[in-house]
Amino acid sequence: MKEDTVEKNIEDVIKLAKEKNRHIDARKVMKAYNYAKAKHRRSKEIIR
Amino acid sequence: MLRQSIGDQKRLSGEPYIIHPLQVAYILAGLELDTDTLCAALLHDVVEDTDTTNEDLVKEFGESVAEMVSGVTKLGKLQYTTKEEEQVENYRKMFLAMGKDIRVILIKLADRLHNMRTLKFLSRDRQIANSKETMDLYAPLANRLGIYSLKWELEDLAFKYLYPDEFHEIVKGLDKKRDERLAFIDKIMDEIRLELKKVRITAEVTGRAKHIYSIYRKMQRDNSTLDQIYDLFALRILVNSVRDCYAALGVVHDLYTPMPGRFKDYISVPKKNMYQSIHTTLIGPKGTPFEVQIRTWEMHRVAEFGIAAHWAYKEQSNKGKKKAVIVKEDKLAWLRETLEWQKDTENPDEFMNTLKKELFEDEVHVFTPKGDIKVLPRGSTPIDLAYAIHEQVGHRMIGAKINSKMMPIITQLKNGDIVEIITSDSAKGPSRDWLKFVKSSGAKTRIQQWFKKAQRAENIEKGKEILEKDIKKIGMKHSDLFKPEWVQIALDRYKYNSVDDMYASIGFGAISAAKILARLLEEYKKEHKEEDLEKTITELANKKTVTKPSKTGVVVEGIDNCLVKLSKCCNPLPGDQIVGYITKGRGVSVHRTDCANIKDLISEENRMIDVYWANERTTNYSVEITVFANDRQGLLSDVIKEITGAKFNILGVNTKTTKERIAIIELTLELENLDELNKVMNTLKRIESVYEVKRNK
Repeated sequence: MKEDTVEKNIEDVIKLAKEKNRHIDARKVMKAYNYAKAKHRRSKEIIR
Repeated sequence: MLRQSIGDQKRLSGEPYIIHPLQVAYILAGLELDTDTLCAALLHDVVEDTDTTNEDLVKEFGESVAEMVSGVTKLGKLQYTTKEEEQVENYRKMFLAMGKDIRVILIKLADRLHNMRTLKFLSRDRQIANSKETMDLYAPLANRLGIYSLKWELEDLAFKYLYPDEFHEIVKGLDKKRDERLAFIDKIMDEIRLELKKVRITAEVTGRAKHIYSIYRKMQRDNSTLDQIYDLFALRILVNSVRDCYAALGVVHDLYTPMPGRFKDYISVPKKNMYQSIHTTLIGPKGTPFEVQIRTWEMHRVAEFGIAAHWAYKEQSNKGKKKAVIVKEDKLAWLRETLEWQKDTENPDEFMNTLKKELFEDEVHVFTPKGDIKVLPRGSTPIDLAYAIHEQVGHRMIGAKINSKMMPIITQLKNGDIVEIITSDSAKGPSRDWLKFVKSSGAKTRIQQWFKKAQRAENIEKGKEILEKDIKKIGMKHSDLFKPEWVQIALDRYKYNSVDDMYASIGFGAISAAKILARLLEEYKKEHKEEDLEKTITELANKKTVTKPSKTGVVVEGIDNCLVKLSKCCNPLPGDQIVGYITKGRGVSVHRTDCANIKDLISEENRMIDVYWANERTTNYSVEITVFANDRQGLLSDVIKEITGAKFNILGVNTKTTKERIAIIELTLELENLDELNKVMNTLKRIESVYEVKRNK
């Protein structure tokens, strides 16, 4: 069980993905990460 | 006023929200998944949680990524009657998406795994609910897809939250004798390595502790303590070829005595989920048993990654071309059959029950006279086999020979049976009774489809009849409810092309008449909001104000001699807070104020009427309660003893024990009032191993 494991960052994800599957398109993965990060940041709207 | 935030969205754990999709993507990267799956994993919550639309994702990342994200996004727009219905519809959507692209479920499983890893930040209620769902649905699903690396972790985590005491007890127990066991297994591994080397088999021999939940299950199954379980460790031998697997098996069987009845060859007969390996249990030094698994490296990869390993292969063989993998492999036939089957059911409970049954189903291997192996769910009959061979074989079946003997076609098959299906061109087709005996959803689907097609006219008539009866039951007429525009709403909701399709579906049992009726009534109510109601209320109000209790012991404020019913949905008892609801033509129905049904009706304020319990006792009341306990010998007898000892009458008992050895005892008691109920519930709570007693809603 891996409860409380150290959180991985996008570099870890791409590194592991490349190790396991040489066809990985790292640029597209990075684009998805940046897109998701920006969206989640923007969406926190507080109703006052 | 809306204010744009400058901060990140945060999870309950306090971590920025992006951490979760990142961890999900990391789990999937470990399963060797492709670029699009990783992108979909990173984006899997954006449609649900932000203003992003699916079209945005198509534009930015392509169809494949957008479709996967859509598959894991919960349904949001449709209105459902209950939370359960909504949940089941979400499962159904997920399964449909999975049928199109299996990677959807891999994302969902990784998503669940990370949520389980961070479960400690949630309330105890949510921990239990999520763990139960994981145990009931996601872990079996990972098992079915052969992804054991996820399955074990999901089970151990869910187990930890569902049974914290048992979990920690096992962990503590394992730590205690760890060194002793490690020394034992190291010695065995050295001996095996040496012998394999002598016969020139290149192999990797490893030892691993068994998973906590599998140890717990074994303890429950064999009614044993941790100290009594010896094979807490399993050895694994990984070799280069199938031939080496059998050669290595010879070596270990030469070295140690195999335990009878504990040998399984999943290499020659793989599991439905593609798992291949040889399992054998051997008797080691001092008579200590241990398990050995032997397989090739490739089989090992499939065992760890399951369908994911299979998918990665398909991608490589396509030389990097990005293509969704359609579930069409025979090895995933169960999934295809479940998806086929689910199209024919509108009943959410039935869908979930069959799905869970399919996921947990054990298997039985039987042979055709030609020697072909067929894998069927345990408990299958020759009818299941006939349909597994071909639809037409099933439809034309008239009998079966099992091991050369004519046997009833509903005989349950055993492993190794040789089954011959006898068919005839003049067969009349399947019988409805077969549906009671078949176990595989494939056979069920095909039999139902046969009836659907062959007896459409009959089903339409039957459907009409059922619906008419139900309309009469509620005291209405066909013409009251069958306005074309209302019927169209019902047809659209349940996706029928015509009224005949809807009738046929009712007649054939795919949807209940009550569901259609509920939709029509909803529309009716919208239009006839208060008309008849006013009349009823005036009638009731004009009656003399004599507060005399009804037979039920309930007094309706200001009204005498009116029909009063205690509602069966909440079975109110004297002492409960109650409220009356003026029904249409059936008097006043009395509910508990906390009844879920009355909460839905509360908006119809002018149909509510004050009621209260009479002081004098007029009758006894039946109350249903459920007792939850860790199963043990003598539990039921203790429960009954306590109730009868307190001089209460038991009207009914229904008991069952779950796989996790949880005893669920449903009791129907005859009581006078709430005080008595509280007394009996408190008494039951004090019984050893009982952990919850609740009153049924």
